[in-house]
Amino acid sequence: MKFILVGPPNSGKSTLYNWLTGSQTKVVNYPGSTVDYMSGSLAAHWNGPGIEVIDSPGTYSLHPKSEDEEVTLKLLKEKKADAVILVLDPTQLSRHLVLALQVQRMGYPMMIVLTMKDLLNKQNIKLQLSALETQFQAPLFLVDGHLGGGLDALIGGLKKFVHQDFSFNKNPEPDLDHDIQESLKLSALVVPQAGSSMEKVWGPTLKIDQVFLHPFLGYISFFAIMFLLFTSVYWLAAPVMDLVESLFLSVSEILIAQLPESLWSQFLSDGIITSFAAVFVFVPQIFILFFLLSALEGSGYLARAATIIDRPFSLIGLSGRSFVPFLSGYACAVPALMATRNISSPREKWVARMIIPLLSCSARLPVYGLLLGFIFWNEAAWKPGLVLASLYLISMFVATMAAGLLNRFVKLEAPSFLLMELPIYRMPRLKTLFLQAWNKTKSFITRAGPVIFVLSVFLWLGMNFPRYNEEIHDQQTQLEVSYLGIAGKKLEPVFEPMGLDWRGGVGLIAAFAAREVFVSTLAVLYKSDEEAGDTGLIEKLQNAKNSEGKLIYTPAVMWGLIFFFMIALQCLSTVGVMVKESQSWKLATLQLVVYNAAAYALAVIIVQILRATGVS
Amino acid sequence: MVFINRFNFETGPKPWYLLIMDYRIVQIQGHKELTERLKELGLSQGQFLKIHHLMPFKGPQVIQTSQGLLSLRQDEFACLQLEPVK
Repeated sequence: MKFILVGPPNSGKSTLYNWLTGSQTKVVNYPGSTVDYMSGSLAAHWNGPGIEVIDSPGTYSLHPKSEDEEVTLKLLKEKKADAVILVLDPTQLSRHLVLALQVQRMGYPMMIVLTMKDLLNKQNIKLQLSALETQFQAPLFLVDGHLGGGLDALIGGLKKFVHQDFSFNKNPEPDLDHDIQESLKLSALVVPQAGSSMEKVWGPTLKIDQVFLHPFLGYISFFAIMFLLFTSVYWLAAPVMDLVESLFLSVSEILIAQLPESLWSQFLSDGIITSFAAVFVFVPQIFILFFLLSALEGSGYLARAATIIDRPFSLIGLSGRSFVPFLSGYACAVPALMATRNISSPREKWVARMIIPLLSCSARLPVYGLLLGFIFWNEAAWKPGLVLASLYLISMFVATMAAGLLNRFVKLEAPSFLLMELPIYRMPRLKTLFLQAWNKTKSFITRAGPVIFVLSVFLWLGMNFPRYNEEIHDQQTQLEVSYLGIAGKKLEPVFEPMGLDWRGGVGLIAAFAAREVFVSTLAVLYKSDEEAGDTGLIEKLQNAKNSEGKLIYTPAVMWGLIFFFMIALQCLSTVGVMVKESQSWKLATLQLVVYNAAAYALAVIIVQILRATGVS
Repeated sequence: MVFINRFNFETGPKPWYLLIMDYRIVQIQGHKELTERLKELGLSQGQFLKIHHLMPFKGPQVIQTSQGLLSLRQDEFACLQLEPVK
């Protein structure tokens, strides 16, 4: 027996789904769309074998206005389930009953679940449920989404529910005005003293909103919360990411030590294990970001944040809903691209996905560190610090300009809405947050992981093949004779206008694995002393000369490289996630080509102008 | 009958009192999808609402209806023709 949970956003549908299924769940992508929904069997402790539950995306009615809502309608029209569990918030009943009436007209056998039981009990609000039962002729359950009260009765209802044939009306006559009037009448019967009940339920929320939606304090608290959120993502994830990296490194070292020295053992340790590391190193960041975002969403604050930031974002054609992915982009483009799923307008989603790789992610930091260290060699520390801060601002400016430009070219579909309800503030349930974050992380591992893995393996093969001489153990010589080295040499005329020789070119190509690889590749190619770190490498770069005996790396070249890295899309993980999120290799390839071409052109222009003006 | 819209709307924070409604919706007019969404969110002719918060620089406004709070942009709010009831 298969049930589909249908309900408006913020009705407590996903919390109920998590109670019902626990971790027995999988993320399903609706074919031909970028929308995911959850599907799973009843958790083992409920002892209900054969019962499956689908969690459909939230919708206000069966007149879809976004891709998510379209998917819910399609799931219902395709009869993906035997019965519908309507999840409604009793404090929003006149609104939520519109959807209930529309689903009823499709003919589905139904069960109705009213969430927020705890809130009703706390405020001593009595509902006249007989009116609902009479209207829908369906079993009705009151559930406390927070503590799980009322779930036993619901599970009992699910087990007793008998499969029944029903006359299915795939396309019920739409009559929104009639449904609204009906739902108003019905809700007045169910919640007879709506006014005083509302006052009780909304009181604390309205008080909190005096701060969070205040025209001045609202912005202060918004920036404070976002600062805390993203610094937490960065600082909490960093040690775990280091741990993941060192774990894979240890496995790699153990393999090298245990296996006889051969190309296969090297492939296994450096190729396969390192490629796995390239996937799993993002897991802590993605998990923590989505855990905290789910907490903000579950508490009710995220809708307020979208309200606060909507105006500045609307100036570049985005809405407040795009803010979270935009800001996440400063930590890492991978989770940021995944967070664009929450944007309902396809146009906004597209624009956000296009500009996210332009934001200065944390992987650019080591590269900026090296390049600025070179430019401001032996100068006061505040100078590179100030330039670094400016680079972040410039990247925000570039992304904003790009968004403005893209908006001019992208054809407008239906108007983009902010219009949304602001839910009651609630304390989110910890287990639900874990499950939601885990499902998002799992989706990253299973969907983007394989792409990142395959691309990383290819890059390793490029750096380690062909092997003309099995005796080559020197990394620098191997890189020189590898396909990547050969490509670097062949492409030297391309890199020359940027002021780079073939080694710099190889560094840029290798940086596609991850931007920071640029630094380690240069260290290998210039035989830098690892213990001396960046300082040793900078000294090597300062003395590096080309075949004509001229210095290669000058401040002009370094400035060119800085702006190259600011624009270039040099992250195969980002490309992999972009392919999966947009479901388009074409778009991801276009993005890759355009950004790298623009970065190259900008770098060449900067280097040539600086040289022409006497900056070496 | 006096209608209010975004051009004559007094901006800035206002004192807020629970469930004392300031305005009545006379009509909902505008883009089909937008008006449909407004109705789905519980706004209908004859309903009372109150302006809860106004974001600065012509930002969104938060209105309170008998069912709770809604956030909407000024052009979305302009679809509602309102008359003051006080």
